[in-house]
Amino acid sequence: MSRWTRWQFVVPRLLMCVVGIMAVHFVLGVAARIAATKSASDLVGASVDIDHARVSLTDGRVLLGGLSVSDPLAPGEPWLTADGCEIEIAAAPLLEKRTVINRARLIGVRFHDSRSATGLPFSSHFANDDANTKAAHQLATIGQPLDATVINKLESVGRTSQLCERWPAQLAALATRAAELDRQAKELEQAIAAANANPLRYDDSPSDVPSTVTSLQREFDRLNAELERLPQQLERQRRAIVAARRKDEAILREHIKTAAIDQDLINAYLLRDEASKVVNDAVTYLRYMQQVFPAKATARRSERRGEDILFSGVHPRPAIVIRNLEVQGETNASGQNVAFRGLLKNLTTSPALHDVPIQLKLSSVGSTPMEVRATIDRTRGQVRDELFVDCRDMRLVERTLGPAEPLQLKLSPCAGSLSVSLSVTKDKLSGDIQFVQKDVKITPAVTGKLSDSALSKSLTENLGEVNSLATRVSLGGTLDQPSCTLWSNLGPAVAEAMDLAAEDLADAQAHDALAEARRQVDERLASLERQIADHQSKLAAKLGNMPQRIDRIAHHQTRRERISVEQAGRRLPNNSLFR
Amino acid sequence: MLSALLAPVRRAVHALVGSHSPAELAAGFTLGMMIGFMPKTNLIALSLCVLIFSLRCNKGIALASAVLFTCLAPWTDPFAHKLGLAALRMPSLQANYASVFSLPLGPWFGFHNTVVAGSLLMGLYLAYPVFWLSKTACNVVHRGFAR
Repeated sequence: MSRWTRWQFVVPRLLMCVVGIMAVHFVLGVAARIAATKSASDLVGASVDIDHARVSLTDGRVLLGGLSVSDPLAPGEPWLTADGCEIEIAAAPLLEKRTVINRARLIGVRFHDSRSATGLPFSSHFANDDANTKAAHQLATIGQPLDATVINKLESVGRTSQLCERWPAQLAALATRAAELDRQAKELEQAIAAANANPLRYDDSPSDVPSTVTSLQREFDRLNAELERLPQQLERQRRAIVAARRKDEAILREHIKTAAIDQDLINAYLLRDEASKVVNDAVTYLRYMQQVFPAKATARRSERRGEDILFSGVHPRPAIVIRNLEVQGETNASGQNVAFRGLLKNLTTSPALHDVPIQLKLSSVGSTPMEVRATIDRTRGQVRDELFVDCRDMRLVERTLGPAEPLQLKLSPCAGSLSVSLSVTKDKLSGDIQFVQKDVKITPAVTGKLSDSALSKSLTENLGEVNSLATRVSLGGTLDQPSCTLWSNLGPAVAEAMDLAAEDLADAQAHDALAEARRQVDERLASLERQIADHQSKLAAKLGNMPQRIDRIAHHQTRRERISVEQAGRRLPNNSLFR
Repeated sequence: MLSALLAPVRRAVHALVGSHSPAELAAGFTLGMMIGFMPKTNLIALSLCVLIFSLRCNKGIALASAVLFTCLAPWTDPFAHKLGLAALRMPSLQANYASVFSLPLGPWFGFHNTVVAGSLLMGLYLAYPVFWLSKTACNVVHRGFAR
């Protein structure tokens, strides 16, 4: 009887074989976990944790479970987790100390975006970096109250002021002339009275009385005529002031007119922060790709002793290559979970040594069409990265645009689409990021000085007609200093609405200012009219008896004639010695 | 008292060298030296380990020697690197190197590494002097034990 038929011989050996296989299985699992952790860290350029690994010798597969990749830019924070990874390793390349994975499948992938924008290592440069200050300054000019002194600059008010300054002097001159006339008449009357009281002194009486009387009469006539013309003069100047009012409106318009709102400035003011996040994220990942996959194969050195010599005739090849990596998982896009699947081809630790570029293609599964394509090309010494993202029919949550003060826009939940097309050649960055929102309702929130004005109402009315928004960010410059140009139809819409609102405000202010100017002019003209009437009546009263006085002077003056000696003798008393 | 303190050492040395000839001890020491100088993650080091366990030599001495010379390796690495570089850069041998390197398992031997090649050459060069010296020393120790 053979010993192989005895259980005492077979069972212990069988048990030993089982234990040996289990031990090999365990050791291989541990070794595979260590090797996979190191290889994965080299591949993604970040620390990788693997919970467990199992090697299946029957079908040559390695199964990894519980993968966690930390964020390369925020070490310690998980960036990507996966439930498991199934790997099929090609055996022949292992003899050449190369790991070639023909097919791998990463399942249950979840992205954890724990990174904050402030933690990013750089900031993109926009054309209008001081847009907030400039826009706030420009918006502040819209609601500014009208300067009170501007009314004094109006032509009607100016003419009225001149009139009010001129008329008192003119009236005073008339009063002076009237007083002078009165004084001259009085002097003449006194002289004539004195001459009449002593006829013997006849020779001493004024000799130029007739000419004086004539000049008095003329002066009185002129004065009287001027006094009578005063109302007509005032009326003529009032008509000139009324005509000047027509120019007042033009002057006011010129003064109130504000510069047209800069559309680009409004775009930058409202959208720059939002755009910066997207741009910074995209550029950060592009930079990360260049760090992980350097242009030269020697860029990442291991800590091995010595130096590996490449013999002439031997072509260097990458140590690890994953030809096809299928990816399945889900991610959060705009607040909603999106399942995706995709394929990562030719992933390697040394893309510069590989003949074909690394290519990634991800597409969503479900109602939200989304596609991500990336190419990392380091073949033949070139450095060319491309990133395309096309995401349509995204359901966007309510958002706000712009700083809280003085103007902020609230966007209602809507459908949106995102399109990213970026490329990097060496370190030169170029491409566009486009974002379109449909069926969106825009509600402006105006705060500060502008809140009381009609601006808010006008903006609401005008922006109510906008139901689609398109934004495009054009990128240029380098990866270290990207420059961005922002375009959107939101800027022109808001600028137009604000221009209309500013025009309405200017109309109201001009109307108020004109009414105030009219009131002031009317008041001052009425006052002047009263003043002239008073003066006119006073002068008329003063000069009322002047014609009679002049006549009287003239009459007395005619009796003054030289008498002969005979006449004088006859006038002497009868008993006079000289008669 | 000193005798009591040295007793464990004596027993350990006896256990290591007592049952082997000086030549076996010297061979173990020499192979251990070669392994010690060399980086361990290659098939040359593994082959030397297999050689130790295949030949009639003292495994304990070989292991102790490997640990000892591993500790000394950081000081010898610069020289080994230069030596290996000179050997691997020889133009006349490039084709031979390339053909060996292209063989299956060729890269696993790691001879394209300057320190591996240099330390192997250095170990081979020192092998006989170390063997002779260690054998002489073992003879002295053996005579001491015999007394």
